[in-house]
Amino acid sequence: MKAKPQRRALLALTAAAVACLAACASPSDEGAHDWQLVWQDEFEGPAGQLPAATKWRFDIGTDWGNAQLEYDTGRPENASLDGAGNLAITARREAWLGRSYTSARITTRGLFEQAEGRYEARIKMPRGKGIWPAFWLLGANQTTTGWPACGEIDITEFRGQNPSTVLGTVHGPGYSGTGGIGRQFDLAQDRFDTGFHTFALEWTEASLRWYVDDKLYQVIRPGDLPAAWVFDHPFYIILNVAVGGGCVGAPDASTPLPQAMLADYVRVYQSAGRP
Amino acid sequence: MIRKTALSIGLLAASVALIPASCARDADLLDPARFPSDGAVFKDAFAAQVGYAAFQDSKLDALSVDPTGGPDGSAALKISVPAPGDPTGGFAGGALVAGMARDLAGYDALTFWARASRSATLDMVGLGNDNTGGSRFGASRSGVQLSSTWRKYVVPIPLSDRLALERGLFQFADAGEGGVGYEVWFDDIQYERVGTIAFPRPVIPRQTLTEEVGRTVQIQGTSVVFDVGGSDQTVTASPAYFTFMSSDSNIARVGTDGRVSIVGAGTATITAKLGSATASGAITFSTTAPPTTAPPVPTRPASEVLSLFSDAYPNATVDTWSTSWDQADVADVQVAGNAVKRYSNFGYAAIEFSSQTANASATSHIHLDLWVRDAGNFRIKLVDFGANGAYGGGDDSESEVTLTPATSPALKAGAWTSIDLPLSAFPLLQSRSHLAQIIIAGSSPITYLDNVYFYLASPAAAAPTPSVPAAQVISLFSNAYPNVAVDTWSASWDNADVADVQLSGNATKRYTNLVFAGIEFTSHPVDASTMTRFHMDIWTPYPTAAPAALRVKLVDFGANGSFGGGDDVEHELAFTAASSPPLATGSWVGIDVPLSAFTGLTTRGHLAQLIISGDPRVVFVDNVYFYRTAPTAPTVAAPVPTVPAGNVISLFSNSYPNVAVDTWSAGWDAADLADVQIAGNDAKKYSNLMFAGIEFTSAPVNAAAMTHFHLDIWTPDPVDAPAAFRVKLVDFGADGAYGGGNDVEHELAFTATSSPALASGSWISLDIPLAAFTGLVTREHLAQLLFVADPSGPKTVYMDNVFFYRAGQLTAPLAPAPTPTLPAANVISLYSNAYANVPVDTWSAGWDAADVEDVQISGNAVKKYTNLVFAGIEFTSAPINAAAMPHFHLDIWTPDASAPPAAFRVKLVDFGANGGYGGGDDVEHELAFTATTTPALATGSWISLDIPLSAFTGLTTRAHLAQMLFVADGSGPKTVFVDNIYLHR
Repeated sequence: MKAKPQRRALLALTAAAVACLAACASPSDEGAHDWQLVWQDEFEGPAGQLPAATKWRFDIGTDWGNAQLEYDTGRPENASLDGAGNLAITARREAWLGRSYTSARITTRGLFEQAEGRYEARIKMPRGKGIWPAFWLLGANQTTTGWPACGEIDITEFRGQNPSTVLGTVHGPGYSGTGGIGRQFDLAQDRFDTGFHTFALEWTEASLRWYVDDKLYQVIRPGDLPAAWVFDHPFYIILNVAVGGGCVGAPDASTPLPQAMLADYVRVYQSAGRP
Repeated sequence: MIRKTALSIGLLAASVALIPASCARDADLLDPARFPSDGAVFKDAFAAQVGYAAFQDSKLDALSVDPTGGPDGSAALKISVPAPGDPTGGFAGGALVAGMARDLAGYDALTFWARASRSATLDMVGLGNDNTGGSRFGASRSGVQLSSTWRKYVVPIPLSDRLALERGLFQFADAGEGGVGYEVWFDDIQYERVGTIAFPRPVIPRQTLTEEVGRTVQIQGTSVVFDVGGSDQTVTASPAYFTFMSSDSNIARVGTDGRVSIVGAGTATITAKLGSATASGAITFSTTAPPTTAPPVPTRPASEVLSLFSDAYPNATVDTWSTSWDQADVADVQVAGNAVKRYSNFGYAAIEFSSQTANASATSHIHLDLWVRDAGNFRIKLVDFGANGAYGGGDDSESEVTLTPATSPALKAGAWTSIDLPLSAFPLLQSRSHLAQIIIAGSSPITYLDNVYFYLASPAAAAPTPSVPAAQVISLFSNAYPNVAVDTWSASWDNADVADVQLSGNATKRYTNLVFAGIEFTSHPVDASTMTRFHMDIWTPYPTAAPAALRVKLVDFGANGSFGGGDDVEHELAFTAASSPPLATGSWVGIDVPLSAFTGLTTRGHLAQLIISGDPRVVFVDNVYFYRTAPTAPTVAAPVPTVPAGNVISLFSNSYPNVAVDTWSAGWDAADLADVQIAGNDAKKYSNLMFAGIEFTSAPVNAAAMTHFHLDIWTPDPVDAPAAFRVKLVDFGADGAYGGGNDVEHELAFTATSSPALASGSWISLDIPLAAFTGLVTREHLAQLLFVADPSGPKTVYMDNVFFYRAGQLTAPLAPAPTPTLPAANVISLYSNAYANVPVDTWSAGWDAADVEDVQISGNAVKKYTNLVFAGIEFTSAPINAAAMPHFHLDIWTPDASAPPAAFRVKLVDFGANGGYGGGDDVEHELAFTATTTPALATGSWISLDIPLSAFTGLTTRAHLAQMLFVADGSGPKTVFVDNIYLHR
């Protein structure tokens, strides 16, 4: 069992604050938070074991409104522990229910939903053209209000053909799809598919802050949005690896498959000051 | 595109270093850690101690510094890429070389900025070549797209720790495109740690190479695919970056920089890693030992060979054994001291001799010795350039033969295969008088070739020697017979070439370029009217499968014996693979047909022409003759014996009285016997003869006085060795009976080579001195004769004139006169053992001039007169009344000459009615016998004088016959044996 770096929130925050101060105008409410760990999955367990059903459920299906090419299944072949302390979501090239690829999409819907907080995952991205993994949040009221009114926060999205770049984005009513508000982060002299990196979102009622390896690279405040701030109710977490889709384009012969996104952990914090 | 192979041979021939290389230290002696790790190569200016070295054969002045050409308006390198055909060089290319080696291990890429004066493809750009020819770590990208705007390019370093001591910092090569040149600018050439280069996927070829023990092979075609910022990029990387492993180092060992030494026969697979990354691909070496023996030395006479390559013959000029456009490498190698062509990387090879085309029209075959290690297939194509002797022109033709292990000849792997193909196996070859190319192809990547030549095939042996007896043959051409005169074996009007050749010492006619050949013997037409068959042996190397035919025509000039005149007749027969005899390739075919098959040949008394034509272009001919078949039975009687009957004891002959023979085929023998007539003459026919027993035990023959045994035999059977016909004589000894310890015998064998010799189809007289029967020490009681044919002698034998005889002059008869057969009642006998004789007073009267004595001939009493002038025989005491006996009989035998004027006279005297001498009533008459009378006087044989008394014309009375006189006065016989004197009716 590998030693997992336990994040020290305070230190990280300090570093992030420094980075943020350098990168953007820092509003007064963005001081230190005392983040309390409230939910986590360290993905410890034997290889091939499905992710814990108490924490994750499978979204089984295809397309998802994004013209994704894969069929997401609930099989361990597509989502299971790797036995080395990681969850592997594996995209495969195989015929499945009319699709030519399979993968998985797991969520905490109905299992863990929360408004605000710090959401952090340590991930090694898969690689290759047309591979589109994401760590993201979706408003838990999606089934009643629909999308994009429910809100969506993409903590990180990765496109295989741009291995040194990730995207942080919010979608809401009036700013969804290609109109989503976000920013890309470029990793200097390195790439996300060759090693683990931490991706974090700090969400308060005042702002959304995106970090890569504790480096703050985007802050969005309600005033930055062209329309309503809908990030005021519980969201749930989604981890998935899409194959193809509007955001990324189709894979080609050069895309090495199978290809897995490895998640070392997912941890969620709540601000200690929050009731 | 330019040939890139020249680039790696970067000699510093073109020392156009813009900045002199000043490093004078020996890099090898330096501590690598002390080498500069500076990544700059050209950044607005050459980095320190970096210079340019142009590649050999490149445009030497292609590179210059453009002072304001850089992206930021500063200096950049400018490359003038020449248009194709630029006299100053066909391409731009060279290396930026560090005077002092750099330690580049900390970088993961060479990067640079570049643009071109137009959209262009940069043929090659990379690193690791210092243009000395000794660089090991070349790496490059090819086909890099440049545009007219500056862009940054990355060349990933395949494995950076290999570049701890590198002088070759940058290299490029480019040639003009679309017929024009252009400019390329480089700037900010440097080494970097880019960080986004990941997932190296090293690649070595996936291939199977066929190689031979003892050879060294440089692995080529190694590369690495990197993911550079999400896109795959291929870098050609020299094998020195890789670590190679052999699956069997007893077969293939990988040495420095991917050089594979083949050390054993078998299969070994080379795999590789680049650092820790396993390379895809695998190079499998399938190896064998090369040939260690030379192919068989050709034995065909040089005069029948047109050789392209052989140590055994002078060779025609061959322009090349591997043209530039073929797919093969050829090398001259020695195998066991024999020069051999070795083809490697062999797909197909063109052997060209177009500058002096080969005329193979007088040959029949192509030969080559082939050694392949893969016997899958091998193809041989012959190309003829036609009458114009040059490629094209509409008269070229070609034809190909494919060989496999299933063809004949069969391809063999790992051994020399001698290929002999008839040129007719190349049916699409319209001509072979201007052969210009041989194109070989096959599945064996390594192929050895030797002894490539065309030749005229010959029979390995002469035609079978004819066995027909010469007496039955009229031969036109054969070593076995005297031959009649033939005017020509290839008439001027024919379309063929003929040569006299010797096959194992046997003269043979060889026709080449045969369309039709006219053989003429008009000067001496052949009368084949008594012949029944025509024979000709032929041999052709040509295919004889249907519908190929060889035709034979006989022409008879008719009674006028000359061409024309309305009486010429002819007939032609065709022989094919389906005829009888069937035409065959490469073996002697004995055409042997009845003349009656030439149905149009209604006369054959003046045969004058033989015409051979057909499809085989080369035909050997021998033993051309007419013959008549041996009859199965003799048509003429055996020769009439000439031995005087008196010298003979005959067992079987129409010419002699025969002694009694008990049986001509004893119950215990193994033979069938038939009494037959041959031309009216009696003969014995033995068939199924193993051994035949002839017995005359009832009356054994006393052959003591005989000198020879004679018999005539005739057999239709072959008498070639070891056939033998044996004759055995058995004497029963003094006891005259079988057994008793005194039997003797002896057997003699007669063969085709004995004397006398056996022969088939003709009467053979076996005339054997009895002394030759050495074991036959007694011959007074000869009782058995055996004929033995066992085991291989003639099975059918006709036989005649079986007798013993005494050669030469006799002084006395060997046998008594024939015993009279008349009934005694019809006879008045004076002297005979056969009858009661009347009284005779004297057999030599006192007044006569002769001596007489009684002798015994084989127990038979005979009167022998000697000193005969005239002998008087008197029976006056009891004269004979011959009134009822109109004939007089007397047997005489004389050893004396009987030729005229010799005469023997007989006088009879009748004393008349008074019964006494005188009285006026005596009458007499004398008859003379000579060699010309009937009966005739003869020497050495009993002569029966049987005379009508009426011939004694003066003997007017004959009731008192009282005297008889034998008169030999003058030239008559002086010694006369007399017997069987009687009168009869």
